[in-house]
Amino acid sequence: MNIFRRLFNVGKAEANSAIDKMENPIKMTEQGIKDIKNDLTEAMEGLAQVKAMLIRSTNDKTQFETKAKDYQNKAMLILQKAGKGELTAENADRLATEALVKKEENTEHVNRCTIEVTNFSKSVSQLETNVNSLRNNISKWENELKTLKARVKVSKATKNLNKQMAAIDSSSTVNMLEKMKEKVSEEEALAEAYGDIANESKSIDEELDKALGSKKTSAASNLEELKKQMGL
Amino acid sequence: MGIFDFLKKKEPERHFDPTNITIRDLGKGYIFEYAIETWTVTALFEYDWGDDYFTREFVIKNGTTEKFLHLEDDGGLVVTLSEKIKLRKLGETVCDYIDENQKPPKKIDFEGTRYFLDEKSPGFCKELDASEWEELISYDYLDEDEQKTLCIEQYGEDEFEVTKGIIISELAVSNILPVADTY
Repeated sequence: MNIFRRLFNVGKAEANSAIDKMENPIKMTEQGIKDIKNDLTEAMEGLAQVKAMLIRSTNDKTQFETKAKDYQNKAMLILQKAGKGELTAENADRLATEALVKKEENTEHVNRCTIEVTNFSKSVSQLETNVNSLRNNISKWENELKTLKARVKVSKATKNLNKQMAAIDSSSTVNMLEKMKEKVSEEEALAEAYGDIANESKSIDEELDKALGSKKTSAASNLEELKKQMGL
Repeated sequence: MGIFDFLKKKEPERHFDPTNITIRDLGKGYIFEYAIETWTVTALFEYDWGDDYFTREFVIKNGTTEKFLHLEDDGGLVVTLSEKIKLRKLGETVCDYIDENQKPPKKIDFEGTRYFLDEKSPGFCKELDASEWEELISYDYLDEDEQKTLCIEQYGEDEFEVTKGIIISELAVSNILPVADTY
């Protein structure tokens, strides 16, 4: 394999991988079902057309049968009239023959329509089976998709919940609380450090005064002296 | 699915779900089954009763018989299957009353059933493709059980059309098959 073909294959693989990532399986399945529904509609329209042809052929057959019977009756009436002497035998034969020819034509139409009705009935039956099968499959797939969508939602929610429980999600509340705790600890440590620094920055006199408590001592001795002077 | 599928000509959107076509989706040329017979919708009429309230009526044929399927959606769907009858069949009393009053009576006895006037509705009617609306007054009667119907439509002063029918369940109409728009 030459280097260009390999490069091309690598590019193709990467492109397919990128497209795979872009594809949302739920949306793809929904689109797939929508496409099959369009096919089902077309199949149903086809079935409607064949059914319409079946209805037309059945109606035609009935009409031709009626006409054939009508011509048969007419031929019989003419012969009866000839029998009664109302028509000449020659004329009656001619008219009766014409009527029988017409009857025969209509009988042929009846035969043709009978074949059509049989064929259309077979087609209707076959198409109906296919349409029903497709319709049932679509309903089944739609129900499966609904279940799968619900399962995806549940699994997503469970995954998020478990992440929170395990506190491994960087954006979780637990993590934020931990960060907050750290921040508070830092602030407390900082405050303590400032306090220590403040203690360390006192002058040596202040420290001595503090150690001896001299101000308080002198004030107390002064009070004793004043009391003595006043004879108290 | 190919990557360039979006370049294909877009299929026209259908107004129905092919896995569940209902009586509400019926259109001209549609085929359906009712009472073990196959019927074809041959025409579609629209009624305007004012205040944006419309009803539809389908003319249906099963080869030899012509009937009317009337759909009224007033909160719930009411489906009436009816057939035309001659005014004179309502009897001399009714015909005389109409002649004298230019309107039908409040009660009609017909074929052993007593019908009561349920509502009198003035409105307009036209075939779906037609442009002109025709004014009418519809007198709708129901029997005591509200299952049998009688409808007298008055066009102008002295033209009356009568239909008798029954109220059916919308589920009684089944196996509805659509036809393509181009069909």
